[in-house]
This record gives sequence, C-alpha cells and structure tokens, in this order.
Amino acid sequence: MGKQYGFYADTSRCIKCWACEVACKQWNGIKAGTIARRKVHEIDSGKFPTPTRTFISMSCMHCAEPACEKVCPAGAISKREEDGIVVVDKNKCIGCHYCFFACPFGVPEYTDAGMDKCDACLGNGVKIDEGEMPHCVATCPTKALHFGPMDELREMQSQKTAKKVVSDSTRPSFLAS
Amino acid sequence: MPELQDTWSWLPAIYLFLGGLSGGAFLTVALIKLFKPGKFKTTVMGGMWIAVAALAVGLFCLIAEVEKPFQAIVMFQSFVNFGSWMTIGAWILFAAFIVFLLSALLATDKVTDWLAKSWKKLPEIQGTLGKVLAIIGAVLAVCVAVYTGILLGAAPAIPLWNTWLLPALFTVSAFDTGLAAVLILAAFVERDGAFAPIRDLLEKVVMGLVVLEAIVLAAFVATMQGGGTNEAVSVGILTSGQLSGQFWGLVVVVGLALPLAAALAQVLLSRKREDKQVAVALPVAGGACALVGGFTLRFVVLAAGIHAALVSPAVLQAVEGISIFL
Amino acid sequence: MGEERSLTRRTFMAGTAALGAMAALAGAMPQTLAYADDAKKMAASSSDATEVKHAWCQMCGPAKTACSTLCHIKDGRWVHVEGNPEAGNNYGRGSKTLCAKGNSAMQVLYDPARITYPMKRVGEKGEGKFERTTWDEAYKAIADKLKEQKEKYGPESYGVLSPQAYQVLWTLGRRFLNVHGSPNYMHSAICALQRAASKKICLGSADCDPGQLDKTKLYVIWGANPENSAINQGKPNARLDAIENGTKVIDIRPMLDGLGAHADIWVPIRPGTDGALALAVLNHIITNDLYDHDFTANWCNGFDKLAEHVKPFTAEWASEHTGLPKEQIEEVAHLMGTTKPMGILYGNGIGDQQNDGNWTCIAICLIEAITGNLDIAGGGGAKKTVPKPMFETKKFDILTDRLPKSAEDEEKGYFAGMSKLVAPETPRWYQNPKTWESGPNSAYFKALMSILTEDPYPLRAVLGQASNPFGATRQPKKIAEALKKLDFYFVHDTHWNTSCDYADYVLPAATHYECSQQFGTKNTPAGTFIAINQKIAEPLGESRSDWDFYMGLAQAMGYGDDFWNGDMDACLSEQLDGSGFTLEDLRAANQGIFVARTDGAKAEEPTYQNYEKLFAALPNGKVQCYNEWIGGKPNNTETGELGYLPEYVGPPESLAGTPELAEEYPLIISDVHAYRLCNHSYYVGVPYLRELQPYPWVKINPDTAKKYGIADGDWMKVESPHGWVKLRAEYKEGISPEVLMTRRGWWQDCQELGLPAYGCFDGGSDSTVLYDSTIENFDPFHSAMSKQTLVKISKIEEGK
Repeated sequence: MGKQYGFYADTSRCIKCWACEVACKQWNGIKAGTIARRKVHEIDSGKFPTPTRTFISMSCMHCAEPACEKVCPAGAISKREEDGIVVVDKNKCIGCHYCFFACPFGVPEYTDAGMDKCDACLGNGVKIDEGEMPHCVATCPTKALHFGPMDELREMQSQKTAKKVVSDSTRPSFLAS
Repeated sequence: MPELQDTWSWLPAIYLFLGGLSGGAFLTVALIKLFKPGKFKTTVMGGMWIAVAALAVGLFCLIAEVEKPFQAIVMFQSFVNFGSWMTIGAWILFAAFIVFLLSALLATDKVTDWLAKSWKKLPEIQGTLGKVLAIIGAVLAVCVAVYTGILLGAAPAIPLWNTWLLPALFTVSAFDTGLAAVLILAAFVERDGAFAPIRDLLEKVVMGLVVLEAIVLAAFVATMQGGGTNEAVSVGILTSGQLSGQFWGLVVVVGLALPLAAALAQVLLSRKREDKQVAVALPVAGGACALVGGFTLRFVVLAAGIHAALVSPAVLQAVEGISIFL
Repeated sequence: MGEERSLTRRTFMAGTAALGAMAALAGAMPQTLAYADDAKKMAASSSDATEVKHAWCQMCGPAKTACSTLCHIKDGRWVHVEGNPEAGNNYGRGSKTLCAKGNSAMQVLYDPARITYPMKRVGEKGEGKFERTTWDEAYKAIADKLKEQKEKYGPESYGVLSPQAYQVLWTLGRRFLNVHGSPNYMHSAICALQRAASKKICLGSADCDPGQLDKTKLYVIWGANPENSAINQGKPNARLDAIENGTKVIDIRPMLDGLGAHADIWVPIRPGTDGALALAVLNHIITNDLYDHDFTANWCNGFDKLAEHVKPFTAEWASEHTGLPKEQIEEVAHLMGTTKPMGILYGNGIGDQQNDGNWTCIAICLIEAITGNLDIAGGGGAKKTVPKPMFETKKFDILTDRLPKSAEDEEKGYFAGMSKLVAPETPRWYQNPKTWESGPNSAYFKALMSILTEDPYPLRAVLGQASNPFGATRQPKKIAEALKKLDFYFVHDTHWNTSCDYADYVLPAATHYECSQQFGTKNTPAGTFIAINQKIAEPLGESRSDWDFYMGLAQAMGYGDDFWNGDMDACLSEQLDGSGFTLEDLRAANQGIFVARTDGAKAEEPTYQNYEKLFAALPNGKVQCYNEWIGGKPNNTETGELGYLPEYVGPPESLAGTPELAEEYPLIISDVHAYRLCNHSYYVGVPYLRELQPYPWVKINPDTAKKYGIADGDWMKVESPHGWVKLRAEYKEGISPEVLMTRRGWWQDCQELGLPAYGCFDGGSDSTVLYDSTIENFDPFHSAMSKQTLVKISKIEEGK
C-alpha cells in the first residue's frame, strides 16, 4: 500500500470564512441547499466577556479502517491502494444509508445518485499523486487546512498544540491542532 | 432537545416489526407442525401464510427505503460484501422468504392437490418435505428474528443500538409478536378442541416472553442510562423525552403489561371454565396489544437512534466537543 | 523594435505557447515556482475539455481588481473558479486562494433574477409598474432630460450615486461629470476615504497600520473587519502569521469575530464609543508618563494642549461610556504605552460609521504617534519598499480641467466646482487637488436630502449605477421620500434593487464577466502582473457593461469627442500605450501576464523615522496634537467651526449619553458593514452564500435573549426611536448582553433556495431604518453617520 493521505485542520488559523465549503461545492457540482461534503464547525465555550470560539473544517476522514466500507452491502465503498482515499462507486451504491450509521463522524450523505462524500477531489480531476491539492485546501485564504501524506501532516502538526481526534476503531486520517 | 433520527424513516420500523413477527409466527407454527404432526393444519397453514405476508410487506418497506430500489433487488449485484451484516441479512431474508413460501404452499391443501396431479410423487414425500422445510424454516425464522436486532446493533455509530441487548430485545419481541399473531389467528380459525392445551401452553410461553422482554428492556434502558453521555441522551428520548409517551404508554403498558394480564387471565379462565369460546376475546385483545407494543418498540428505538456525532442538545457542539476531541 | 524587446522580457502565462518561455525563465528566477507544474497541467487539461479564462473577481464589488481568478468553462458554461497563482493574490505568487464569495462568482452571472432589458416606469414612483423599452429610447429620454436640466438649472443639478470603491465611476463616471460640468459625485461617507482624511490632517503621510507585521510586538485591531471585508487580500493571513511569530493582538470590536477569536485580548466595546476609549488611552499614557518624550518634544504640534485636554478623560469616565471595566481600559492603555513596536489597524467601523469618526480616528492616530511608534520597524507604516513595476500603464485621465471654475471658487481659492457642491462631504475649503485627488465630493445622504430641503438647491437628476440607496446609506424612509420628489432617477444595474421602483428608467447591466473592458496590475518584488477580464459569456439579454453604458450615454449627450466616440477599446488602448502590451496581448492571455523581475531590485527596508518628509504637509511640519489644519475653520455644513482637540460625542442614542431614552430602549444595536457572504447589500441572492445565511440575523447574548423569552432561531421585533425591523435571533456568547449586532441589506431573494427578500422600511429587515439620520448629528468634518442606536426587542410569534 502507498502512503495514507489525509487532512490536517489547524484551528489556530481558521477564521470560519467558509471558502473551503463553497469551493468544495462548486468544484464538485453540488447544488446549494442540498448536501455538504465539507463543513466548518464551531466550538464555543465560556461565557461573555471571556468566551472562546474555535473553528474547524471537516469532511470525510479517509479512515485507515473505514467503518463505512465494512458495512456497505454493495461493496460500493473502497479504500484506494495508492493513497488511502476512501471512495464511493455511485453505480454500485444502492443508497441504503447503512454507512451513515456506521461512520463515527456521520459523514455520508445521500442524493438520488447514492452516497456522497469527500473524495479529495479525485472525482473532479485533481491529481493528488502529482502534489495537487483538493480545492478546499487550495482555496483556504489563511492556510488553515492542509492535505497530504499523513507523515508530512504529522510533521506540520508537531509545530502546534495537537488536538486529539477520537480515533474509535476506524483510525481517521485527520489531524487537528 | 436532540432531533430524532431521520436518515432512516418509519419504513424500516415496519420492516423491523414485520420481519420479527414473520420469524416469530413461522417458528411457532413450525414447532406445532413438528411436535404435533398433522394436527391443527389450519392454524399451521395460516401461520405460515402470515409469516410469508409479513415478510413480503416488511421487505417491500425495506426496499422502498433505499435510494435505488430497483438496483437493490438485483441481489447478486447489490449484496455482495459478506463482511456486512446487511448482506448476510439480505440473503437470510431471501432464503427465509423462499422457505417460508414453500412451506406455506406445501401446507395448503389446494396447492398440494393441484400439484399432485402432475407430480405423482408428491403425496409420498410431502410429509418429509414439510418437516425438512419446517426445520430449515424454523432455523431461518430465528435468524430473521435475530437479524432485525443485529441490523441496528451492528451500526457502531449509533450509541443506542450498538449493544447485544438490542438483538436480544428484538428477538424476544419477535417471538412474542409472532406468537401473538398466531394466537389471534387461532382464536378465529382453529376449531379443533384439542388445541386448548396448546393454547394454554402458548399463553404461558407468552407470559414468559413478556416477562423476559420486560427484563431485557429494563436491562437495555439501565445499560444506556449508565453508559456514556451519548447513550444517556438517546435513551432519555425514550424515557423522558419526545418519545416518552409512546414508550411508556404503548411499549410498556400496552405492549407488555396488557398482554401479560391477558395471558394470565386466559390461563386462569381456562382452568375454571369448560366453555372455551368465551376466551376468544382475550387472546385477541392481548395479542393485539402485543402487536401494537411490538411495532411501537421498533419505531421508538429506530427514531431515538441518533448518531453519536449529533447527540447532545447543542448539535455541533457535540460533534467536536464530545465525540471528536478528547 | 521596442515591442520585440519587451517580448523577450515577458513571461507569458497564456496557454501552452507561453509555458516554454516560463520554463526557460524559471531557472533564472530567485525563488522556485512550485506551482509552475500546476500551470502546465492546467494548460494541458484546458486543451481538451475545459477552457480557462481570466477575470478579476467582482464579488467584492463591481469593477474591482483585487483578486485575479481563473474561470473554468465547460461546454460554454462557466462552472468553476479558482485563484490565479500567477497574479500574487493574498499571500503572494502561487496562492490559489479565494474567499467564499469568490468561489460563488458563477452564480452571479447565471442568476435568474438578472435584469435583461431596459424598462421605463409607467406607474407611480414606488409602485413598481414598468414596461419594456429600448436602449435607444432610454438613452434619448435620459439625454433630453439631462440637457434640459443643464440648461434650466445648471449642470450641477445632475448627481451620481457612488457605490463602494467603483472604478467605473472614478474613471468614466468622473470624466462624465467633469465634461457635463457637475461636481456632484455623491460619495457614501462610509469609506476608507473618511479615515484617510482624518489621518492625513493629523499624521500627514505617516501611518498607524504596521507595514512590517513580522516585527510588530503589539497589534491593535480597532473596529477593523478584514475577516469579512478583505479575506483574500492578505491581512487575515498576515495577522495569523504574525500571531505564530509571537505578536500579541488586542481586538477592539463589539463582537468576537473570526479573527478576533485568535486575539490575546478581546475588548467588547459598546458600538459607537471608541472615541471615549481612545481619549482614555491617551489620558492613561500621558498621565502615567508612558509617552515618547523625544517624539512629543520634537514632532508634535501642541502636545501640552493635548495633555491638558485629555485630563478629564479617565478610565472611569470612559468605562461609563464604553461599558468596559476600568481595569480593562487601563490594561489595554498600559500595553499600548509600554509595548514597542506597536501598530494599530483601525477600520471603517469607527472611522466612518460614528458621528464623531473624525476625532475618534485622530485620537487613535495620536496614540500611535505619542508612543513613538510612527515609522519605526514593526510600528505604524514603515513598509518595505516595493521596487518599481516592470512596466507601467497610463493613469486614466478624468479631464479635471473641464469642470467649470466659478467666480466663487476663484474668489475663495477653491478647487474648481467646489462652490457648486450640493452637500460637501468634507468642508469645501479642505477639498483640493492635494488632499482630495479624485475631485469634488458631495455626501450621498445629504445630497439626496437636498431634493427635499432644496438647500442649497435640489438635485434634479440622479444616476444610480450598482448602488442601492436604500441599502447604502441611512433611513430608507427619507430616501424614498427624496426619490419620489426627484425629477429624474435612472438606474443601471444587474439586479432590480429596491430603489428601481422609484426610477424613471432602469437599464440592464452586464456583469464584468460579460465584457473584456477592465484590466488591472499587481506589482510585487517578484515582478509585475497585468491581466484583463476575458469575456466569459455574451451579455445577458440586452444588458450592457458598466463601461459601455457610459460610452453610450456620452454619445447620446453629444460628448462623444471626449469619450473616444463610444469606443471602449480605444479608451483601453490609450491607457495601455507605453506599457509594452496591446489590448490584444491582454485579451489573449488567459492566465494574465506576469513579467518576472529582471532588474535585480528587491524589497528593502525603508529609512525609518523619516518624519520631516512624512509630516511635510502638516502645519508646522508636525503631528497635529493640537489641530491647526482644521481647527477654527468652517465645518462641512458651514454651520460652525471645527475644533482643535479630539472630542468625544458618542452616538445620538446611547446608554450613557441618553439614559432617559435607554429606559425605554435598553439595548444597543449596530451592524457589520461588510460581511463575508455578500457585498454590502448585494449578493444576498447567491445560492451558495445565502445557504450560509438564509435569514436576516441578529446576534444576541443568550442571557439577554432568554430574558425576553427569545429562543435561538426565533424571529424578533427590534425597534429603535427611528424605525423597526424583523430579525432572526442567533445566540452568541461573543457579544455583550447589552449589544445586538446585525447585517443590513436583504433586498434580494434566492429563487434556487426558495428564500424571500426582505424589505428595507419599517417591518422589513434592513437595519439602516433604525439609525438616526439627522444631518446636524453627522460628523462635521467628513460627514460620517452614526451606525449605532438604542432598541427594545420582543419575540415575534409564528405567523406574524
């Protein structure tokens, strides 16, 4: 197996501008008001006058052991040998929604065409093997979102205060700081 | 207030109920057939047709739920990953449906008479064939009943479902509701006086099952309440949240307490009275209550099965605060 | 020959032919261009299915050239957009970034709500009854009217509404005004220009915003909102870099916003009271002897007078007005007085949306000055020098000399046209070619009010191009009255903005994606970039570009000789003359043209503390602690004199200033002027953006909301002494329990999402209806209007 690719969200740089969300939609041809492969979430704590706000952009975490793949009856979900990206074959997917109940992050969403989730822009022609970035990462105005081989991301993350992502049994390819 | 699970609608709840009922009903009549061969044929035949019909409607509901039903029914293409419980379940259901259907056909005199015209050997092997089918069918019936619980129990991201107690609960409820359906049927169609002891036995089994179901349900609720935040929030929907009315009223009172009372009354009455006809109303009422309770149980468990990532009042807060970051 | 030479030093980024050239040059370039491969791939992939075209993003306003974008066109339809890595957007070359708005640009071009043909009003004003007409008929009617009015009332009877920074208006529009003879460029008074003027009269050419953020120790953000107004234009990214580099940040804003969340100290000031805080900071710094003695002794005009003046403005005093704890005021003041280098980024929030914006800005400038932070490395200004561009284009000539100089202008030594201004934005005496380069300005709101007051004379014809006066200024109710009385109002817009109902003619505008008529350049140490908008689609229906609109109007008016006889290409070619590029070069370059630096010049550290030069234009060549530039001179309404020392006025309605009113209206409201999901009041109908803010929102502290029985997501009635609106509550801890913050401009619906438009009058959702619009209360120097008032709130029950 090749390198495992994944995302790294640096909350110390995210300002919730939503550029990644919209870039994801326009490049993947997702209609407004339907689904969102990527979402910027906000974590609030504390009360006025000392509240904190933390923003984090998340999508499919391309788990090392994807729970969605295991439960898919149609074998429509697979993990790519070469980069570890978890992809959906929409032709095979019957839209049973079972993967939503399996994914610890509630990532899978559904359209008439079947399950829909982040494919690291492989579907719209981004060549990650040649170092191209998924559009959410390429568009991020504050360099808060990164994509690449996990070891490289871990190196970047080590410069910051890492946040632990609950690994469950699926071992998500997602880092946060 | 957490929002109810709506990724699966109420259609799968119907399946979970009817699938269980089908398994329970088939198991009941298969046992009658095996232990009292050649007797109570109407009840056995009726019970088998109930199993077939319930499974057919249940499967229809299940298929109607998916985005691409026509693709889904091409089973050898769409159910290929045997690492998935859904695939195993789908093939079990498929096999069960065939066996249930064959059993029902074979238990129907009109069909066998007609078949015997062209298939001379049939009367010879009919008994053995029926038995074999009943045995295979009984095993499959148990699988079908258990599978309704496993389908949910094998969904790791739903805290309320991800416990072995759920298959246990649904299995007990499946037998309970299947049995209730057969008892209702028998109350109307079974004219054989010799059925009375069987009925008494079955009523006792009902009592046992109801008590068992109550215990499993209590264990399920207690386990959830004692589990993590996610589990507690989910089960709170049942015990004190949006679905508490349905849960306490329909599942506990109507689905458990009333059938228990009805079964108890039935058993007591049958000891005192010679006139068996008087007792028809009781098993029907008790059975009907069990069915209502059984369906509501599936419905509330399905609806309260909110995703771990969405549990907790402030939805997004939970995504990151509880389940993503430690 | 010259042409050939220039070609050899160019790096064409236009399609495959250019790539060889770039590859050849790559080795000679100072830095590795990691994205060169990307460009190659893009060009390769563009040859088969997708066509790539260049456009300057217009999502931060029509006719902007801030972010260069590459537009991917598939089967004739524009489907994707991305930042152009060649251009040096945001953090520099290689950056493909865009904001959320930029990523939605396609949806503006294909918006089903676009206007497609010219319309002529047939009903009453405001009634909305129109019928289709032709461009020829409309132009004729407009020209007839303007000529007739020019004859009857003088050319100054014509005024033009200025939207935010709008290159069409400050080039062709200004030229048209000058040729026509009117000075009435109706500038919003809500603009960086206000802040720039305040700074100019206090600090001259010095600056408060740090030019080398990597050296700044303390960065004070004061009412500035770049995470909403200019996400992809460098500032947010640079601030985050600085924070990583150890810079401490103080964020002074009523709401804890995206960048504020990363600050070390958040100062949740009551909207409109920044002047009080600034005075208290000055007081603390001076009282505690934290100021730079050398600087104040040598480079400050009247420092002693200032020191005496600020004595009463203690932290206790400011605490009452600002709602901030005294200790926090002292903490902030102490940090500003003791941390060096310190820089202040102050924004439109305080400069031009408070009726004491001028003095507030000046007080802030003085903090930067007396602490000795001006023009030092990491302090205010002191940018690294950017080497000269590799080529230059010509400045657009607006024909300033054509504006008639009246006898009064002559007599008073005014800039030509100044005495004829209907409502001078800054005082007439102040507006001259040195301070106000673009030409005379009238203030938007005040000029429209002249129609009602006829003081000094009423405007007779007004053009609204890409500006909705109901969203751009204060109190739509008064604007509607004025538009009803106005003789002639004509509009050129992509969308039927709410003011169109009051227009005599409404003309369909093409977006800048439907014409190839605007180029822009970016010069960086790496080289110089130039690109033009390429035409992505034919203009929708009968729509015409903003540029062509003026060309046609000028022709109809008989001004053709001054307008290239209507030939926009000729106009553009004239500007390109001498740059080494032709219009054809530009139009063929589908990623723009980047000319790498070959002169070896680099960004260099400037000579610091260059005070003599920076303060040269200031009285006595010094920072105006005691302001002798404006002090004792007439204010902009010529109703009084301007003062010498910073004054705190406060909002017309405030908790501390009007306590009796506060009993009935106990909460403060203000709004974010710029927001990252729309462009002022435009683009609320863009599906990708509307999805993220479906309803007119108001941020409210949960404690306050609960007191009124308002749940998160409830609609509420928000009522000020001036009007009321319906807004949807959004809980937020990052806002004071005394304060509400909202966003104005909800006049566009979104068909795709089935979401409605909301009105701008009472009962609608436009916060501009809430604010005071008493002209006497506006800033007496630069006409800024208050954007803060007091309100009472209540829950609106479902269905009402």
